[in-house]
Amino acid sequence: MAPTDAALVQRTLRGETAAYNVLVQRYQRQVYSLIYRMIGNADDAGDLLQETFLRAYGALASFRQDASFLTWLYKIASNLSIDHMRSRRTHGALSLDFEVEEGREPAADRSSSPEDTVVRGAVAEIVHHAVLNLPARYRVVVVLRHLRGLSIDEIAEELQIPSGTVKTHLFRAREMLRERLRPVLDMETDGRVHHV
Amino acid sequence: MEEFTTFEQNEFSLCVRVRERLPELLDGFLDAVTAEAIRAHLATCYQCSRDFRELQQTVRLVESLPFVEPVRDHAPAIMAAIERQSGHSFQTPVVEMETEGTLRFSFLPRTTNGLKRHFLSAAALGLFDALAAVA
Repeated sequence: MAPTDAALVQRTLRGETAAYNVLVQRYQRQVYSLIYRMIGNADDAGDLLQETFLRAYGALASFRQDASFLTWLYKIASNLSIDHMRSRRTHGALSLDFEVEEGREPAADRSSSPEDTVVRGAVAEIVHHAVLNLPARYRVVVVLRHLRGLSIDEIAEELQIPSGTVKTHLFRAREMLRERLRPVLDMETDGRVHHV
Repeated sequence: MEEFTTFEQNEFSLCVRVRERLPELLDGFLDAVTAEAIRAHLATCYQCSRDFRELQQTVRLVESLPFVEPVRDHAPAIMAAIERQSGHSFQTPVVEMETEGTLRFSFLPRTTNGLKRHFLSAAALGLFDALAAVA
């Protein structure tokens, strides 16, 4: 039976540092995927993945043993990704809350890295780029809500913005996605596509 | 609770009000009575029900996005970065077995001389085994 996350954390804290390597091996895929969906760039996602595990290692003593280690990693990764998007877009001058003009779309990174090719299937690729082309403030709430499964209140707490703002961003984001995915939705309605 | 069940002379304005609430219906934010009233409208209004179905499909498409796999194992770089930053010395586990809740690792020596000794001793053992087999 594989050791639990809590046991591996305890061993790491006791100096059995190889135990941390097991945690990295166990969760790097999930964390990488979340970061990549948020920022859409393979190289930066790799850097942020490394930073996530570095931060977690540095703060390991503060990790609550009854909490989920993966959820804790996701939180660190989300915050780093948000900071990254802020700095990339505005050099830190504006808040994620107000940085994007209505109707203006950030250009998604369409460089075809090896990771990009892993996003298989035409429909999945269309959906991936539709999410990636959302304004940053909308993309963040969509990823946190629909890929991380957080509640509106949890997103509000994580982003330090009011719940009403989260709702508004989420509703608008989904409307934008619905418009952009219309060809796929029409195909599904016609029965030409059944699933991603 | 909003009243959606009363007959409105302007059906269009009812549809507009219903569509405004569809995201909340999707997320389960509406009280039971309002949700029921909207569902009753959806059962009779093709356009509103189509809007709701598309909203559901959109969310499902996003939630069914596949995992993005990194093409390489980032763990060695991560552990090396932690070692540099923390000053802790890590050895690289080359064998890992998880048995009965315990971990067993074997480690490659970290120094060049240590590596030489590691591989020389492995080669010597192999030679010894070969000679024993011939004898």
